[in-house]
Amino acid sequence: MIQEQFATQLINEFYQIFQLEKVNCWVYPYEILSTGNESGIIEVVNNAISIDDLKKKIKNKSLREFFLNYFGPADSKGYI
Amino acid sequence: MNNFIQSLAGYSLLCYFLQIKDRHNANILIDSKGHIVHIDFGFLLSNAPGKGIKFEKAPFKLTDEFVECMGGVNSSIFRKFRQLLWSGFIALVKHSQRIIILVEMMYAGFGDTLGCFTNKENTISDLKNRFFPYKNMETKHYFKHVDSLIEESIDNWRTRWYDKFQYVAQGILY
Repeated sequence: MIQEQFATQLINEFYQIFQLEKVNCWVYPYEILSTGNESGIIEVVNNAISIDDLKKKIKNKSLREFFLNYFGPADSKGYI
Repeated sequence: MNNFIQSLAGYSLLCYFLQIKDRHNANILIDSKGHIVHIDFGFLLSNAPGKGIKFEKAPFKLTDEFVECMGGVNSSIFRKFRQLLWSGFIALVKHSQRIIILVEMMYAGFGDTLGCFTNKENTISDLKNRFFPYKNMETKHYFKHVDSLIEESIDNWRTRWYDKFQYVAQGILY
């Protein structure tokens, strides 16, 4: 758990460096509070699904097909 | 797509520098705006799943499916993604001391009681080598370096093989 918290501190550092240098790379600086070796509090990432679960839901479609369906055609505003 | 490539670039760099492993599709989220978000950092820096056998050798997890989402390696979106990796890499090298010092402090405090420091001092020197792979590297040299990391990553068979292994072992779709 300490290691997970350590990782989020590093992610935060990356996040700040990207901001500082005005680079458009994006990471989600989420928070973990370690309370012991095997325990801790982890922030929930809202409105998100693992790619694995997503693929179980969309069955045989590829990720690209899902994107096109969800965000609109490749030249549309939603997709870009 | 902009959100997708910005987050893919961000996490590619993060996973590369910190050597975050166990990157199968159950540990990568996708949000409603198209960002990807990595979770589960049980393996980083010098430890990886599998006792001593290292599966995930690719610098970035750049599967053919991600590449397909961007419209292939010759698309304008992929070009943008490449530019993001260049500028992100250079920014991180410029401020690499901030990352290195955090890792060094953690090592000083915990030593190899933390899994990520299994390789002891080599953990730190390997990290530094990823920021400064050759002596006297200038900014212009980094473009070529990042390009070669991208080439190496594009559908690296070890990444694909790891996804297949996870599918067989745990039913995680690839």
